Amino acid sequence: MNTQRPIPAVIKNIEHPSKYVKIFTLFPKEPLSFTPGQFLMVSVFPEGEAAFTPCSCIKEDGTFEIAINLVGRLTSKLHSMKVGDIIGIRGGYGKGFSVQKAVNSSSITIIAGGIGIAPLRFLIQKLLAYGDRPKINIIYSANKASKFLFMEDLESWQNEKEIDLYLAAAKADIKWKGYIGRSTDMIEKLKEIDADASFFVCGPPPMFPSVLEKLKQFPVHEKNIFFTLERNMRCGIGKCGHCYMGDIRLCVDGPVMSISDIKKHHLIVFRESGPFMSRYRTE
Amino acid sequence: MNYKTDGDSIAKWIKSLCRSYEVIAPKKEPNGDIFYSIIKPSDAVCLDFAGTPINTPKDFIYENYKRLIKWDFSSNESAVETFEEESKKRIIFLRNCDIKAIRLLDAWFEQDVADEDYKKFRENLTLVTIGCHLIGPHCFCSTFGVDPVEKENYELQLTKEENSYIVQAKNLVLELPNHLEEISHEPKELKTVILDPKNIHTIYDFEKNTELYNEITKRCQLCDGCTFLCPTCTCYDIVDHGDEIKGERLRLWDSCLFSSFTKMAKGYDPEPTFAHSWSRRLSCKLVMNDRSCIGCGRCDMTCPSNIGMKSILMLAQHKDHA
Repeated sequence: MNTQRPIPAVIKNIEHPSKYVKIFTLFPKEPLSFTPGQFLMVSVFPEGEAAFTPCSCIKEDGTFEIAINLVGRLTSKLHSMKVGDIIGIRGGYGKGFSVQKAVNSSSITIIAGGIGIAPLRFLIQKLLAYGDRPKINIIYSANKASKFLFMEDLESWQNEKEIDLYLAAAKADIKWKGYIGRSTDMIEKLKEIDADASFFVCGPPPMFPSVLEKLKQFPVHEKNIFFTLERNMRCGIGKCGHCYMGDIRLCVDGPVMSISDIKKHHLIVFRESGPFMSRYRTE
Repeated sequence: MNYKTDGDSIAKWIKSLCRSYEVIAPKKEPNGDIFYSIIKPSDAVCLDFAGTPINTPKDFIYENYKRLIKWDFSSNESAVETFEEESKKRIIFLRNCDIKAIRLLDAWFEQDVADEDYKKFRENLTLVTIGCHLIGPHCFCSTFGVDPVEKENYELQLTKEENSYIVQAKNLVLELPNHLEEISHEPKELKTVILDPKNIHTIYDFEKNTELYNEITKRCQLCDGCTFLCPTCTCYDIVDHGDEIKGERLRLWDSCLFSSFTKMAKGYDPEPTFAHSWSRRLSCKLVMNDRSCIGCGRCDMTCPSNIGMKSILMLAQHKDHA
């Protein structure tokens, strides 16, 4: 059996909550299993494969959801697909979030930027299933108020006990009555964070250094802060070499990594560079 | 046990192996170049040459343009299928450096999620070592502790000595050539040049080695001959060929030096400059994972601007003394 064979999956439903994001409900034709934070390799024939993280567990009817942001060739093809079309899926790969560790910590803080809410929504769903979970703080920021995803979920989470929701939009629009600013501003509003608190961060790479800087004000252990990193992934099984970061392969050793692991391997989570900066001689 | 035999009985023996195995061995091309090739009974195997053949055993073990899956959605039974390959018994005659390379490939493909196709292929493969009796112009395997003539870790080793061949057999997985004469001596030991720059453990740090990296990035023409001819380079890309209804997915060799290697959708490249990608290459070959460079010198042979691994080590060593 070839380890790189995708399972055919039927698109059962497509939601279009914001301009560049579509949420696909998929029905895999063969058994599939994954945990929060693990990624799937999604095949769009004949555009190839890319790594995406599911934003829900596999439900009773066998379907699960995946949120796709329109950025490139493969995602634009995916956005043009209709209900009933078939794509391929294999996974779940990599190390996901440690749900058990989160439940055992003194408080949980979820920091999501933009589409980064997708894997964290899956994590929150898992956490809500625990009766004796600690308090959850959810910080969710987006570039525009119209870009917030999973509004229904946000409303239902607000009604749950022991959940504090902090929303921040960098730019407001007419309907937005909430806070205008960045997720880092919301970190300052957190209360009662001790050394055993846990943090789960997912968002665009430029967000990581500023979040990390802000988290220094809390006495929290570095091994309890988890970042979801991203790289160009091709095989998902640690063979193709594309997702290297220092001496690790992110598809096997990540994509969820604690700050202490990131420091241990001297990884640079974000490097400033222009969007199309050349690899060729520039001087 | 060590034996001695002549070239004729070696040739006859290889011919007889061709009947029950697919034999891969060095073969002389009409222009004199040596290539690892699949041997037909009518072909002459060449065991008398210096250094390594031009191509690598990777051509057979980890092939380029390998078909991974095919899809066919033309009927109601939408199908994504793999290719079933027939498993043949193979024998491969290799230089000791290439055997070391295969052992590194074994470790790479069998770690974490094992590559099933590779595993199956490897189970049916017998390795025969061809000991070196001449050192090639680019060889530097002794730098990495690889011996031109293997002392311990072989199943069957053939080494040329004057007009005859020394046959050393450890595990009798194959029947041996005829006309064997038992001998008590070992093949002559050889050593290549040994390069050991002081800063080899920090060679990936381009900020500390600016001079070296300036030289490399100035010279490199991005032809990627070095990665494609490296017996331990395993990076690959996955490409689809076909349309929405029917097609195949191929596995292509890739190189960490290519500009699109780490680039993500929307254009952000976490390894933005050429120095970053060369730093990756040097750390992968010389520092990480017990050094995957085995000193075969093929990158030096192919490099149009003289920056194969050996030349890079020589540049670094020169800097030590400067």
